[in-house]
Amino acid sequence: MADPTEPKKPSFPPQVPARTSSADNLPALPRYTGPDPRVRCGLLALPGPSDQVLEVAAYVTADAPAISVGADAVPALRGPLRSRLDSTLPPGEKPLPVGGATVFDMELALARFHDRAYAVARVGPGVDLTDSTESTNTGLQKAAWKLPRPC
Amino acid sequence: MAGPSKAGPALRLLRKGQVERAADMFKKLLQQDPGDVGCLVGLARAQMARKRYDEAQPLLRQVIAQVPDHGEAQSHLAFIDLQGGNAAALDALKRLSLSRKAGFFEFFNAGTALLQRGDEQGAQVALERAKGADQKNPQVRVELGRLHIKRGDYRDAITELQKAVELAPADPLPVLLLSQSFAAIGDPGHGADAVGKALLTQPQSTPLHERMVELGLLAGWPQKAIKSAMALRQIDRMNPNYAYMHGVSMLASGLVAEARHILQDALKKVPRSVAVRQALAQAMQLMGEDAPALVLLEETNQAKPGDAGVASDLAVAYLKSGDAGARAQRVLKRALEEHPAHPVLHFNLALAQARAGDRAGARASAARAGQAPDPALQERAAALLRSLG
Repeated sequence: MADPTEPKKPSFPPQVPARTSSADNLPALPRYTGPDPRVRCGLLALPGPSDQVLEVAAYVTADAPAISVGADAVPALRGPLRSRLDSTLPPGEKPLPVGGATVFDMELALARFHDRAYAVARVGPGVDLTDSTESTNTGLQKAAWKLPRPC
Repeated sequence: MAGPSKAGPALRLLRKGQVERAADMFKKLLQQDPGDVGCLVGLARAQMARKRYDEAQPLLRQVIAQVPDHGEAQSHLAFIDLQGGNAAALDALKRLSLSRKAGFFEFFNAGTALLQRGDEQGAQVALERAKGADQKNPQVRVELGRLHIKRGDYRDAITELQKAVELAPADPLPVLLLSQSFAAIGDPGHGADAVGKALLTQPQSTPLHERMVELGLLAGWPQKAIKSAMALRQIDRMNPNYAYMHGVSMLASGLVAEARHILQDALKKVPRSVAVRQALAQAMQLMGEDAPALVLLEETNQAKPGDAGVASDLAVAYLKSGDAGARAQRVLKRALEEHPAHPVLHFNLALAQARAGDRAGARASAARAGQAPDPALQERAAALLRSLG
């Protein structure tokens, strides 16, 4: 039999407010009782080969006022929300650096990536690596592979 | 033939991407043996990789002095000449790429030059040959992938870019291009998978997290968008864009009160941002705060009357509050001056015209809305046209 002096254990685990990881670090907020926003997202434009941003538009479809059209009531459309603040910058204009992080620039990243093609170890004609400080048996041959030549 | 080269270890550094160290080592080796062709070629490549063409040129000339038929050196020199404005160098690049002895760089330089000149077909041929010469080169795959994207051949782009991602797993660029190709074919989920995999090895990459927010929203996975938006805010706490992305992701996830709080906070950082004001107004409306939302929209519309999103929201708010259609029409028509094909503006204009009794105008506007690229919007416009009779 349980000791009556022992504090009674709760029959259920203590109630912890349900939280999602996404709501962490936010103050206590009033409970939302409105409709599910039912957000539908789509691409505003097909991406190009140098585009840094995907032009995503988010439409909140819930609770739009219905306008009477003849016998029907047609819900109006809310304006699309952009997925980024800077996604409407004019072509060629770059976002200003804000905060501490370096701004990623697609054009620059493409140019740097391209130029790394020159940083390779293969050798061309007239170069004999046999006198290298590395043995040809320890991977140097792999590094110095020759290009296939057309017949 | 020249004696054996000592370039091996420096070439290995170059291959590992340690370009500065490789260049230093090549320079030291060349002090010992100025005629070491392996070191001359290696140092020239290191300079080319850093776009130091002026420093690469004399090295390449020394190579040709020793090995007159050195195709790679000739190709690099022609490429540098072309960058310097000598248009005739393009012919030299083409000729070198057609040589029976041509190797990777002869093809790659020709492909790059043809791309720069806008000859996509020629560039594709040269780059395909470069791919044949070096199947493991990620740069060629990326260039071919970009060519396919440019032509709208997203599936072919995906094939090349998937290989590029495998070959350059530590670089965010191929994954970004791959994920946008997936998004373009309506498969953002696979794009999000690729970005998620890349984030495992590059957890601090801001472009990858930014892309994950976009793809998470597109794929209907707002939790992924929220996770990446939070990571971005951890990386850069002061960036209002990241706070905005977090707010929109929360809204998409149905966490409206949290979204409202985050957007309100973002507005303090960028008080004049139209995007933040519009998203905040929508969160406020969902929470039943119609009056302050209307004030916010009116203020924003006054400052940016051409913004399509704000104009749409303000017009809808007017219609909701009993406007007979005139005020809503005025706001929408003003925004249409700047965005004459915006389907949402046309759709809401049709509703406002219908409410005002202008059926002919409403039908014309609904027909314009039906030209939207978005199939869901096309369907809504078709239904509206049916209702209008």
